[in-house]
Amino acid sequence: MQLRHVLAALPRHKLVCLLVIVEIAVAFAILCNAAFIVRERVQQMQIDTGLAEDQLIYIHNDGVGDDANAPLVARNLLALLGLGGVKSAVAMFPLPLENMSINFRPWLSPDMKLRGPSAGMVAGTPGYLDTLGVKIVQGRDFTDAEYDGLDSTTKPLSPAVIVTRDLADKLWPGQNPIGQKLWRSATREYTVVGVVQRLVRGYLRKDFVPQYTAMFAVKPVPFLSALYVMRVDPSDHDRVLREAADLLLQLNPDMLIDAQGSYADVRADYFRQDASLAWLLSMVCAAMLLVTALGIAGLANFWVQQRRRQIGIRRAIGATRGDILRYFQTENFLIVGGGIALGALLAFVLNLALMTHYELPRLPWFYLPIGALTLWSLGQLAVLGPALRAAAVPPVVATRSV
Amino acid sequence: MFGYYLDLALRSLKRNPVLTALMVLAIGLGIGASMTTLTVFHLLSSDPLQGRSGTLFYPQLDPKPPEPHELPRQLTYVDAMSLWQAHRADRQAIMVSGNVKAKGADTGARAMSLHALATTADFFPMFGVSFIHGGPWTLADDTGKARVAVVSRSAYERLFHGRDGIGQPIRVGKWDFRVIGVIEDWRPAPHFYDLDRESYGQGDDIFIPFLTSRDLADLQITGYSLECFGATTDDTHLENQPCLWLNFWVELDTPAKARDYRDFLANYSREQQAQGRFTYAGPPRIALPDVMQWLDQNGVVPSDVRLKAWIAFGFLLVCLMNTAGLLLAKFLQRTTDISVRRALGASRRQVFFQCLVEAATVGMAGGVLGLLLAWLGLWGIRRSPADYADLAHLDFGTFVVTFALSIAASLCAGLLPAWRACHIAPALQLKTT
Repeated sequence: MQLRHVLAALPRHKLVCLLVIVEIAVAFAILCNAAFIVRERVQQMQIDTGLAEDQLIYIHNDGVGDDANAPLVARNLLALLGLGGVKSAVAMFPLPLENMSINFRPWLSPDMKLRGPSAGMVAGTPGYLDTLGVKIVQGRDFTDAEYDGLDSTTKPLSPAVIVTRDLADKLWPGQNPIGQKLWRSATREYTVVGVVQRLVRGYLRKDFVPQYTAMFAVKPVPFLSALYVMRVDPSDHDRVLREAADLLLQLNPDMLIDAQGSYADVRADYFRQDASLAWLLSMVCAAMLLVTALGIAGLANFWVQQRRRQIGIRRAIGATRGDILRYFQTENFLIVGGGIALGALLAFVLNLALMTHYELPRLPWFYLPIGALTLWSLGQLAVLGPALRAAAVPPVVATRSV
Repeated sequence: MFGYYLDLALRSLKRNPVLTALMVLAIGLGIGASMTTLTVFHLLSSDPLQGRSGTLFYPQLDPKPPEPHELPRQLTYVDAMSLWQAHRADRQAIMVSGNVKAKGADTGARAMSLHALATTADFFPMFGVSFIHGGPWTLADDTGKARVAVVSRSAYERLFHGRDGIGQPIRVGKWDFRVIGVIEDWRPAPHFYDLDRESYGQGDDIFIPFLTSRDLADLQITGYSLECFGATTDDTHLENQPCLWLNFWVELDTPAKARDYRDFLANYSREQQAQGRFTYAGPPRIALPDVMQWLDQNGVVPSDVRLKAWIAFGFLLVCLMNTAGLLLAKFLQRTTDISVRRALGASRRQVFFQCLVEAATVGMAGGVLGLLLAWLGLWGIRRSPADYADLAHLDFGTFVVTFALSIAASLCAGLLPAWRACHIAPALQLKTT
């Protein structure tokens, strides 16, 4: 009944309708894709590093210099441990997502024929896995005796290595990783002594698997001295950081501290571009919904003014207020529906363009119904005011000239 | 006539203040978002060395083993030195960066961390770096491994606190360097000549001769990305390691010279292939991009920035269609007005222009709002932690473009409605009322 009236009236202002349909279509296409990008980024930002993140603080500095200064590293660590609130302190390289990394592709045979995928190297002083809160799920942690120095190409001398679950599964599928060997050069052979659940490498890259990490045991040497990591209670972060920085500067008058903070800062810093994109896209989506809603409301208002006489006539010949209300709601539903139908197509095209230029994955189908529902409800909400005003038009209007 | 149209437009806009506000808001939001993102995009993708960048080239060679890979971004020591010593370009410079710890020579001075660039003498004239005191070092200083340094104005002030430092020593690491020149702070955006550094961050603070820096390998000036493709034996003394770590730029003033240099690179590669240093077979793998090609090929402008600009323009499109719809509805509602004017002798053209003036008025107001929003947006970006944050400013160009775009956009939005309005048949409309 309603539908017939609406359909009969729509072609009367087809140009405006068409404009609104195209507007909604473009808005729908952008909305779906933007929401998808935002979700992708937010998911990336929530990556599990494998660390006890809320308990870690760090101090980044220019290091102690050459090998003659190696004893200073152990002394600094001991001093940091003495601070109230510090549960443990280690020197290491690198923190996950610190934007620094040494990457290598392990060989799986001594003849250097078979090679694994790129893995990140993590090295630290005794107890560093414990400090980071990395969980060992198979085998054991390094023993104190296993921590050793580095050769002139920054490869650890200690033959023990601990790998992540995923790296172990990739290198030795279906086998017990404990006791397996890998080579970083013809002479640098390492034996797996343990497996950790997860640890993410220094930076992420499209061709890297984030959690392919190999951990090595290195004693306090200058190479590790640029980064001190401490485990403290979250409530103690600021105080301990301040005290630790003061202490280090006091012990090492020439030290330059270039960065310090909690692990949350490292993470925020690493993902700041993603955060900024997600934020901007959310703002644009919100603004677009607002503009669209206001536009629909404005147009509907117009139409109500324009059709006061017709509404009066319909009321006079028996239409109820509800009929008039539903008339405008149906009209809006149809127009927005048209926009969504066209928009689904546009969303697909836009997604294809994004896939080729920005390496975005395919838009999951469920974004379309969710987007459609959003726009439909928005449209209904926007038209409600004008429609109520239309329903309030008294039948007597029919008898007056405008 | 224009004054009259303007008066009519203002009257008409005042009659529906809410609707007018809506249109202005839509255009303003669209323009504000587009201008903010466009300003950032423009800022990040602009030519860092206007007028010069077309004559500066980056030679690329391929010393890596023949598994599939892209042409490396950096050179090995052997190749960089060979190209540098060949002197086949008008100017050529090796460069590599690192952080060094430096302090003024006076006792008690506190050490500071400086961005150091180890390079060769041609760096300064090649990139047109301007000196405020002293001057650059010479080729003789390069080959003689002189311990001389050129510092930026801000580093100079931090090192010498306003005293005359030319000829004075500064301590870099464990060694003394004599300051021979001070340059104006130079911060090309993007930092094209060394992409290891933050692309839009601060410029370099201290410049020292490349060969000197090799002598003092403990300074650790070895670039931030070091890519080794064979078995290495030493991470500090990289001269004979199979590692890519050096940047190399040449100046070639004419296209003919660029062609010749390409031939030279091809010949060099063939020689190296013949000697067995380059192990791939087939035609020489070389490239010689200029500055803008180099930036493009390395994707220096973050793809996110481009994406933001696209999305903002999509939003502007939605805003425009929104405004067009509202204008259309409005003009069509005013059919009676228009019919009366037509009946009294206004031509279609006049009605058309009158409608466009109304649209442009909305655009103008939207432009003011958009400018305000863009200014606010850029203020927000300046307060963000991005490395280009402090470069984000509203310049005069943006100002003009904002208004031009805003008025053009509103005219586009008004075109269809105006066209429809001027085709209303006056007689029919007058009859029905």
